[in-house]
Amino acid sequence: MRQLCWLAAHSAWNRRYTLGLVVAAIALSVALLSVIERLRTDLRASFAQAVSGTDLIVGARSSPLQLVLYAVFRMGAVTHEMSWDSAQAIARHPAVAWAVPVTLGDGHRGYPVLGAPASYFQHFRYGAGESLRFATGRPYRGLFEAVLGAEVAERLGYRLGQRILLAHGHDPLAPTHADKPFTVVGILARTGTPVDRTVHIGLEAIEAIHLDWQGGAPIPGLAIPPELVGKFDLTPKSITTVLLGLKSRAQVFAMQRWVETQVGEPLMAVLPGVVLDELWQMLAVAEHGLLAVSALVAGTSLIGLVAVILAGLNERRRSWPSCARWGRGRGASWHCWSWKGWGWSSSPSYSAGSSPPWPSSSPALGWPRSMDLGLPWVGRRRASGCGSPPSPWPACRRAFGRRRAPTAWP
Amino acid sequence: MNAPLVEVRDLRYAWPGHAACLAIDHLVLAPGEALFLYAPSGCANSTLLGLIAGVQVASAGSVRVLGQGLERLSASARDRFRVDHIGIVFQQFNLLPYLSVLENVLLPCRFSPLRRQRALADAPDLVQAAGRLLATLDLEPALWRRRADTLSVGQQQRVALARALIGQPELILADEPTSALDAARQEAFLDLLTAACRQAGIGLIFVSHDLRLAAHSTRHEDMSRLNRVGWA
Repeated sequence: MRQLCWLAAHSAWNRRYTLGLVVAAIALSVALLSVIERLRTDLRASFAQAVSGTDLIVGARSSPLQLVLYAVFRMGAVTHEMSWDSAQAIARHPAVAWAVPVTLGDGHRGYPVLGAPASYFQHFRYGAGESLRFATGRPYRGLFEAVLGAEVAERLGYRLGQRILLAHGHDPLAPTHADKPFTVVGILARTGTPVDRTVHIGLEAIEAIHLDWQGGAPIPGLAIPPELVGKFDLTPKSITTVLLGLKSRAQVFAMQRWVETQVGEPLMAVLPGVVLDELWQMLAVAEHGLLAVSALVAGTSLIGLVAVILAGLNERRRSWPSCARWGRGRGASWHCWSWKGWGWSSSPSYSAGSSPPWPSSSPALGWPRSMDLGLPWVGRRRASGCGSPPSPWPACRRAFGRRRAPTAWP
Repeated sequence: MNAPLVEVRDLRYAWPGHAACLAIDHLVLAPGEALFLYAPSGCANSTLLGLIAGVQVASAGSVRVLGQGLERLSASARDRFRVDHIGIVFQQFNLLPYLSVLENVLLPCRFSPLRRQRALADAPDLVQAAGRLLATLDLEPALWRRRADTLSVGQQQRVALARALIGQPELILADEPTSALDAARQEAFLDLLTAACRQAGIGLIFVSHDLRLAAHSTRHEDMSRLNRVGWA
């Protein structure tokens, strides 16, 4: 075995460039495969972990998917809002442990603005039940204060004390609430969820910046300066959604039914986990696509590998016919072919196993043992020198050499 | 008389799925004897050498080398037997291009403890054993450490001969060993081959299609008469 390793090492070193390329190709394709697989599982995980600990999401009756997409991923929009009174009624229900009313709709340089009471930071959970942490600063207390998600702060380079303006809508070109700037008082730690991309302000602040607005535009001739907004009632009239935590998860279906029938407004309550699962199933097409790409990558690299081995065997053209000449069955020949390919192209690989899976005189092992006869009696029509070339250049040289090599007497 | 070195009796051989290509009733080689086997191409001469070397096994009949019936040995036992007792010179030399001349010559000693032991019997170490052989074959020491494929064709064939001779095998098989050489070198090489075998008492079977080379050995056989299949 030691002798074999020695030979294998020499053989491998002789073809180190080809071997290096093969190893690189295999490494790359394996890396690609694992990256794609990793991406797939990560995608799924981050998707499923965007929200946790929230038992129900309540909103005006529409599509559950739409509601979850909007409330959790800030994607799309909901067409109807729900009234503040209904939200209050739900919050007062005895089964409810906590209720966080949320309003969405405004934006800041493309990032969504979420209006919620400060209790949001305490109740909202993501991942495996982790709560939001502040990287710096604190939750908002004053009216025109904002808390940024990690990505917002990082991308826009905001620090504590930064003054920011909110826009009416997500569109970066939307009109801004220019007269009422907000001060950044807190920045959240990174979560890997849509929270990172969100600007958080109080519910009252949402009311305040819209006091002198109507129908998506400032009311001409009416400007209420920030100092005076305190004189108005800033209780919201309507909100987008309510996040609910129940005292017992067992009550989730009863609560769902109660919300949908007893509040006196056409509402719905959805279980975010269920909807996210449905959503993921819709995205399964993409997932399968990724899988198919993985399979293709694996297949391509395998074909490449086989091609390289075949090319290597071509160089060692005597090996294959010698297998056949040894009268082995087709299966055994294939075996010895493939192992031989490995043996030649990456010889150390067969030094790993102490007993090889082929019969004792199969070429990869039998060759060196039967040293003199290993590549016997075949390829005799070739009239040139020995062995395989270490690089393409000697191969060319040999090819020419073959042409003018002396032939046998007739 | 001594037991024969090689004894072929009622030998029949066919490649799997093909008609029989070899049928030899009787062929004997005494120890130390040199046999020139005249073999026009197509007379299954390589097959005969393969059978004597134990690469293939007879379909019927027996091939005995040193009294050992090769067909009774397992494939790996035949491999071991071959490397222990038989040296082979190929038409194509079959040197390993990535090894040095010395390493190529010493390959049989790596895989056969017996050959190693015999090589060490008359030299203090393996390098000197190989060196002595190479020197008698007119390969100067400057060449010994070079890669085998950097040598000329004639030099490579002499290295292949040294590889067959090292460790004193009982039998040397030479399959068209000279057809890669030009006429003058053919003569010189055959002189070397036969002299080395005679000196060491090694039996030699030497296959060629070139009748002019027959002068180098005392005993001649014609493969086309020996092989009773005779289709080619």
